[in-house]
Amino acid sequence: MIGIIDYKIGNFGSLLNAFAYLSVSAAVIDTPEDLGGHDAIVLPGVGAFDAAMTTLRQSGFADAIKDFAEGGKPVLGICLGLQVLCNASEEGSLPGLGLVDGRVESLKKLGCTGKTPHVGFNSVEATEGDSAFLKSLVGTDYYFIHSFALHNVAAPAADIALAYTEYEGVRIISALQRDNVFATQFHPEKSGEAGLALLKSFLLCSKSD
Amino acid sequence: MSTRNRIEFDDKGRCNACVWSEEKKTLDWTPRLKALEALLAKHRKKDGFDLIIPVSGGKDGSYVAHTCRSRFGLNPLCVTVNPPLRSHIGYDNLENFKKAGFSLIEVNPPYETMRLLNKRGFVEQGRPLYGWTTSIFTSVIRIAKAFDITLIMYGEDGEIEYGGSTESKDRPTFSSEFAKRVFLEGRTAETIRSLSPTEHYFWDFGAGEETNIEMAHWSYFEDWDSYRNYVVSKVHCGLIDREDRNTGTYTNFSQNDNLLYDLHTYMMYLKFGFGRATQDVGIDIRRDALTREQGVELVRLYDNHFPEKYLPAYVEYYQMREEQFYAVLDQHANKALFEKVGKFWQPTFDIH
Amino acid sequence: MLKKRLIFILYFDSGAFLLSRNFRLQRVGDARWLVEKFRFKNIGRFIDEIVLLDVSRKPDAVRCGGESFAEALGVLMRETFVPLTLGGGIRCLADARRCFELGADKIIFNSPIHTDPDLVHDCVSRFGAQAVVGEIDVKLDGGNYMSRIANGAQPGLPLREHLERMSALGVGEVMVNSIDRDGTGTGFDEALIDACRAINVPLIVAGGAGKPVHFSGVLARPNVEAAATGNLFAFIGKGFELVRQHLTDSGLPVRSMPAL
Repeated sequence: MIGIIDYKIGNFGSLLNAFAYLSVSAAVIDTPEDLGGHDAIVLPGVGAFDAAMTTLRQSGFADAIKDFAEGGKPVLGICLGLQVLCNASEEGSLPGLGLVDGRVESLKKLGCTGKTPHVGFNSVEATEGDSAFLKSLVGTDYYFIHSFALHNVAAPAADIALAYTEYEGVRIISALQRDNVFATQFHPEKSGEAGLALLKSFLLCSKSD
Repeated sequence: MSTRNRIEFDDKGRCNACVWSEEKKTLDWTPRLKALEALLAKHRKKDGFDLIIPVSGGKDGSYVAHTCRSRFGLNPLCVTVNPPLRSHIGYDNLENFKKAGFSLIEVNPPYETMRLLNKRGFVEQGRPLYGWTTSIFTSVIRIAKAFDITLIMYGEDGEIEYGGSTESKDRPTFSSEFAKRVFLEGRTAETIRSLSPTEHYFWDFGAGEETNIEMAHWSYFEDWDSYRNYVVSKVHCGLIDREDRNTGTYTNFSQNDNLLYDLHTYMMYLKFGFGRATQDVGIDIRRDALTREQGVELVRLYDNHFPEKYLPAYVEYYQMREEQFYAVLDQHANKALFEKVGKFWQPTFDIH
Repeated sequence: MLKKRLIFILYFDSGAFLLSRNFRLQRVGDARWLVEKFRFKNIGRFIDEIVLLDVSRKPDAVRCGGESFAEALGVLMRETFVPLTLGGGIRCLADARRCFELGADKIIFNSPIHTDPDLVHDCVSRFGAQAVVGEIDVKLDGGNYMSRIANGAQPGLPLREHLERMSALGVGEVMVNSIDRDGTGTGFDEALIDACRAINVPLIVAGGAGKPVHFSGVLARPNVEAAATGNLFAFIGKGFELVRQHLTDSGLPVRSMPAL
């Protein structure tokens, strides 16, 4: 059973549809107590960084998610879900969950010369490696919609980046994996067949772990 | 190959309507506009009506009436022949047209004669509106004579715009003789057979010569764009469109003032293999709003629609039993193009 | 490289989807009709986003949260995994939240840009700029581009002023729709797009698409990120497939699709 964290500003309807399409049972979790019974969790994302962190902390989800991840179970962060896994974000003043050692910054500050937000389908360029999750990035286009991004992660953890994406002068991390913690800046649940393939591979990773 | 009289295809496979629409793109309209001004000047009166404009409350006649009044300062007498099985929207649109301030004569030929001629047309020729479409020409001439008006301005020349005889393509005006021969296919005597003079008054031009009456199509003088007419009539004549689409096509703003028009285009489909959607698609392709490939999708989807919801109204109007009604469809269906599957005729051809 | 987007706009009122011609609406079919005629199972291969607007104009109409709206959405999106924007009648934060619960990635505002700018601003700060689209309906009025609000029924502002207002509110994308071209199939209003050069967020143009070549024309412009159509007849059947093929053949950067 896959749990989708409901932190009140997320968008989980299409994730539920996607898992149903893949014939995987998934449910929305709205209290941290329910986390335990799940094999893997997904942190979806729409919204602002501080608003998300406030809800995650007040509800007790913040600690529960960290415990879940540290217990070795798979976590997938999507878009803002990727960003809250990091240490901090330029968008807000609250600390993130700290599961990924990096700081999220605005595309403008990173040197983006194009229009922001970065909206639309963009290509991802996968790095070398043998992660199954990485291999399911089939070199096609995924849907991005964001103004902030993870640009770099602190050494020696730089090898957690699985894929990069270029947009008007910046190169951002578009997919990453740190052990059992997976995250994408793009929305697999909005990226048609390519996205469904990626979610499927997350499920496979969950099972093998 | 053409399945309909007077539609011809050239060696590139283009019908005469499409060839004309290409020609129009580079046509210099200035001489035609001058010809229009000369024609209008010739018939303009100090008082009374300058010309007759046949209307129905629909987009095309309304456009011509509005343009004559607002752009040329004319005083038109608009004439309509109330159609059989008029729809609510047909009624509303004629009311809206009146409210737009035009002088309008509504002709109501004897109901039973109209019914008889429509039925004869349906049974004998597969033309469900035969009596009405004929009276639109003939009764307007009666009115012109009665009011001493010498110019009748129709909307588009269907023969030219939608495919047909190209005889009138380079002529600004035509005579009633031409109308009798081409538009009424020389059938006047046959049409009024067995009717008394009182009954056939509005289907007969009447005694005496009409040589002083000139008839013209607006489409000769100005590029005919039925979509523009629709937009202008919405703004200036209160035209409303249906909330849903018309039977047998995807549009909602054309030829919807009576229920028999739906049957008329269905019979056209059974006889010639092209229906109302094909007509609309042709217009949209010629005005550059669709590609042929896109049009094929619409034709496949909508052409073959029998207006079943109006069947009770049809059999009541024609005073027929349902099986007699279907027998008329059977009689007129083009057996080279259709085969009967159950109650209805299905195409044996495919559209590519 | 970021790809140019093709967007399908759907107008919805009380269970039916509608075709808009110069902002007059024609009922066309229900959600099942749409799924069948537009082959929704595969539509994500040919379009990049869906925008669904509730256009019921009655004052107390079922708004975005209405049951028939949610039901129709369920039928459409069950097996379609493309980004979704919802709008029409969002009047408070709860309406907006409801849209996200229904699966929206973005919400779209038209009249509130005028009538309730605070709501738009609140949504931007709560859900992020990327989740809020500002929509403007434009009509030529005596040679000047003027915005109209309330589904075109009421006057708005001169185009430039309206765009400045949207920019000040911080919306993440702008959709510009031409009332004069809407549903006509005569092509997008290029002069209107020229007049929108100052927009510094992604620009979606709408109003007038009829043929595939209309899309390639506007998407070739550097200031246009996406082109949208709500023409339920022009692109029925394999229509969007034809558009996608044409865009690819024209050498425009569009999303690559894995083979079936």
